[in-house]
Amino acid sequence: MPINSSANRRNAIRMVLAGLAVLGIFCLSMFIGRYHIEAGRLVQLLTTAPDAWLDHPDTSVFYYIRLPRIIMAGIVGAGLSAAGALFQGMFRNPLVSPDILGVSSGCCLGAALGIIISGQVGMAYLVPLLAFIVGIIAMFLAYGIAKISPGDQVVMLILAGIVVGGFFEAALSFIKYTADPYEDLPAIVFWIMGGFFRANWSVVLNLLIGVLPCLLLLHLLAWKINILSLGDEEAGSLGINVKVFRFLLLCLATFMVAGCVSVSGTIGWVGLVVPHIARLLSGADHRYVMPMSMLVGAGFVMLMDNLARGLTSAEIPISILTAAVGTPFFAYLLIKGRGQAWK
Amino acid sequence: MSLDVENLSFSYGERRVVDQCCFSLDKGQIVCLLGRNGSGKTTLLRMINRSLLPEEGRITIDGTDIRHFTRKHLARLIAFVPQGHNAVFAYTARDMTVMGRNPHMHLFARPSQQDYQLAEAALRQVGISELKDRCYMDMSGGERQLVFLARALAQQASYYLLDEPTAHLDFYNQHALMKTLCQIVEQQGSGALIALHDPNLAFCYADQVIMLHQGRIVSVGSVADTMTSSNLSQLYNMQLKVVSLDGQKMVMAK
Repeated sequence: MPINSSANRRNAIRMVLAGLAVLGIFCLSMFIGRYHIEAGRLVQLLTTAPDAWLDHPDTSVFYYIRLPRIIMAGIVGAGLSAAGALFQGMFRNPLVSPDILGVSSGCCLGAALGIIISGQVGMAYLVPLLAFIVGIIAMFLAYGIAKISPGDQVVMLILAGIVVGGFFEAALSFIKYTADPYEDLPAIVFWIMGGFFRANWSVVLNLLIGVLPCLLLLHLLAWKINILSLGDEEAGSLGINVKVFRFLLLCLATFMVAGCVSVSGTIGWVGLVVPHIARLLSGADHRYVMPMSMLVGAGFVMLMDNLARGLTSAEIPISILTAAVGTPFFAYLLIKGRGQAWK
Repeated sequence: MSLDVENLSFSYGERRVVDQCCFSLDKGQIVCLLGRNGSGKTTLLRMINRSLLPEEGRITIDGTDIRHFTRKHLARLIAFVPQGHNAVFAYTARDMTVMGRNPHMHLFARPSQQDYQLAEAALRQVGISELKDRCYMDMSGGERQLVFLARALAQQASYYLLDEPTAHLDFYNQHALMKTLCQIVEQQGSGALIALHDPNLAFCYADQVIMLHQGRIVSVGSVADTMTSSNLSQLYNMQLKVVSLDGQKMVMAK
């Protein structure tokens, strides 16, 4: 990486500051929740072996519930934001988010199906599994429709995504309409609103295995995303096989987004707003936008989850909070200095 | 060592825009493509760059059909300077130029210090090194065109395709760009195919001229053979006269 220009130095400093902020939010998050833990007690615990934690109710709350939840919020935030940055760059459009190819709608439909089926036969693991699978199917459907349509592939993909999303939402509405209104319907609605209350260490482990390699790959490919953002023809003449490359990146992002949404439910606005904040902080170059999006996304979602579990005695679904904070902030960006990284 | 175009045709729907074109582009030569708006110049260039697939015919480089190259390999052979660009992101001229190094880099690589040096040398060569840290989107059309040329130079390809590179340039920069191109062709021994609107530039800099009318090549050959009053008058469908002034030929409207 070039180190000779002041812009790069400034970006490096900002990246470190963002990293420290995320670390700070992480530490702060440990103290937020219904169950109060003293700072001194936490330090005392962290210095002893994990085996000893389980004997105390306060520490097992911390170890089994709060810690995995914070980590999960961080990973999901980073994943959604990185996917958002990728989609906005690749589609050359500031308004797209990771939901654009119908992945989230697919996940919701899958989860609703899972809730209905597992209500009949048990097997609760069907919910995230079906959510994940149907989310991926949605993307492939959208990609397939775009592929066989004549015309600009980027525009076709976005339109096909809207088509698939709309269709899946209709199917979801149908399921909701016919679902048992006392058991299944509230479960579906609550699932869709999203949250990290399902966190445990096995979910965190699955997320780490699934999402971290994707994040790493996206970071490594960030410079190529710069080239893709010039448009298909120019990227092609600069030696990128656009069709193959875009398909692989879409698969990568979809895998990551479906993985995140299938365990957390839909978390709106993160994938749309966070990349804009990242661009405001680090300019247009995806080599900086990508890691910055991951950091800001992780910090933002951890912070929102703190509000979700700390604001009231009952938990607030996180989508309400991300939308309530995200939309005014997005409006602010539109009015103020948004034009720095976009035309 | 040449790029050969054989019987190339292309239609947009029912409309034939390129019809049975044949010519070759030798290394070390500047070939100018003249023709009116809509005569098929851009379509021809886009096919050679493999952005469009020909309906009939083929394009070969040293005997190999360009369809058989990987995109990356082709980008090492052909550098394309597009006509205009709807930029979306605010990259600096330097970052834009260094993207030309992509065909020489592996999948996960980022431009190295050496790639940046090559990019800066390219910017120097087209005469805009003072613009290197300027945001590409704040530039004028002409400056952008020069950045594209610098990017193509950084690509170090064997053939250059330029689509009306002088369209947004002032009088000085038109000639500066063509001179730079002559230098490059001479130094690197590469070939350049340039679509031009101004036939006088062809008089000054072309080795060969191809005249395109409604998708067909109506005249091809050396400047002396092709750039005659009658050929040019026919091509542009107006009364034109070639005059000689201090040994330099030029074309003027009657």
